[in-house]
Amino acid sequence: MRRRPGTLLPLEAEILDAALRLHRSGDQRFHGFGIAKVIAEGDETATLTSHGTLYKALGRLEAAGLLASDWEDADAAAEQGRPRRRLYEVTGATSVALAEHRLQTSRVAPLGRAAWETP
Amino acid sequence: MTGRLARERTGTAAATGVAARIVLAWVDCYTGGVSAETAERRRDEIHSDLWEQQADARANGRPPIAASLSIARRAVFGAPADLLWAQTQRAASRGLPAEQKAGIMNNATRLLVRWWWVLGAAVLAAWGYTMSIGQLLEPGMPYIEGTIQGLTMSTLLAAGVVLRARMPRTAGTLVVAGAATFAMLWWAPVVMALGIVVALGAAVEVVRLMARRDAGVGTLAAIGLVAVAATPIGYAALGYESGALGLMWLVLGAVGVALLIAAGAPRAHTVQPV
Repeated sequence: MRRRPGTLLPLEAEILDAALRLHRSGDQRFHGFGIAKVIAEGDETATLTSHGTLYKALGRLEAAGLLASDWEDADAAAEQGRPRRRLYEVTGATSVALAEHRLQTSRVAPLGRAAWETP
Repeated sequence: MTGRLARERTGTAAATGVAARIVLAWVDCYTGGVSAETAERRRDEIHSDLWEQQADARANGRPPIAASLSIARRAVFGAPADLLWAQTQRAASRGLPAEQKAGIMNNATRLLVRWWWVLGAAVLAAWGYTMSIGQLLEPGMPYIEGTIQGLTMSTLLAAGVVLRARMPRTAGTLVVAGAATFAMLWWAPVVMALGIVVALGAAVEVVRLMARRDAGVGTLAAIGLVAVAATPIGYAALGYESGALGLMWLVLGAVGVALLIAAGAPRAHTVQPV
């Protein structure tokens, strides 16, 4: 199933939402596992997003200009005794894209069980 | 492992544990056919992720086994996305200079032709261990029979993976036996499909190694493998609480192994009269 250009998949919206939450809480730059953790905190099952799904989605969002990323300084990571992180940050388009996604999804009529449970 | 980032990785703290090592081996495997720069980025990013998850578990007092299970689960469920990503990246690498591209693709092709079913067996074993250990940790261990069977089949697959380089026939037979049970998990279609493909791939490899140019030997080996594969399937489907029937499946397995040994026995060469 092909999606329309400019639309977000549910996971991509979750990633952007997590990224904006981290940004608002003062973390200007964050790594992939940090995003997975924030998404899991908002999930009932509290499961971390799988590696392949997460990093593939992050790559798509970066290619679309909705996130930016770069490797952190290797010396800083070595001083802390850990592998260096790929650090992501929100861009000017992040919040706009998420807002548009929410507007679009709120207009869509509920389907399946959601429709059954909607008064 | 090549490239600047990888060299730097070896000098820093590394993610530890069997699960992390398997995940890193899996990453090395599916990034084998993509451009070096893209592969390095993916490998280093996953390596960092594994380290962060383990550090987070330590900081929050969670047992290492819980972190390992979570890592294995994330890897297994992300495997289809990994493969799709690798396919997309390979397609993107078509714009690379021909010589560089040929080097990448030749290595990847050789790796895939020789090892694809071994990789599938490793994924199945990881999934089997994850599910079985997860069930073991449930209060009261409600699925103990299935858990034991899952652990047994996963161990057969893991043994096949380990023995692949030194004892390819034994490895293939173990993988056929181990994957056969996964091939009947209709409630997990992706695992079922992988089980079928891996069992067939391993069986073809065993028959190819044994048959050489003798069709009769190849047929004998194929029948032996069918009997070996039917043993765990039959036992799982029918043989749990029926003693004689359960024994029948074990006898069938023994017959299969005997046929394989007979097929693999060295042949006496007839000397042509001068």
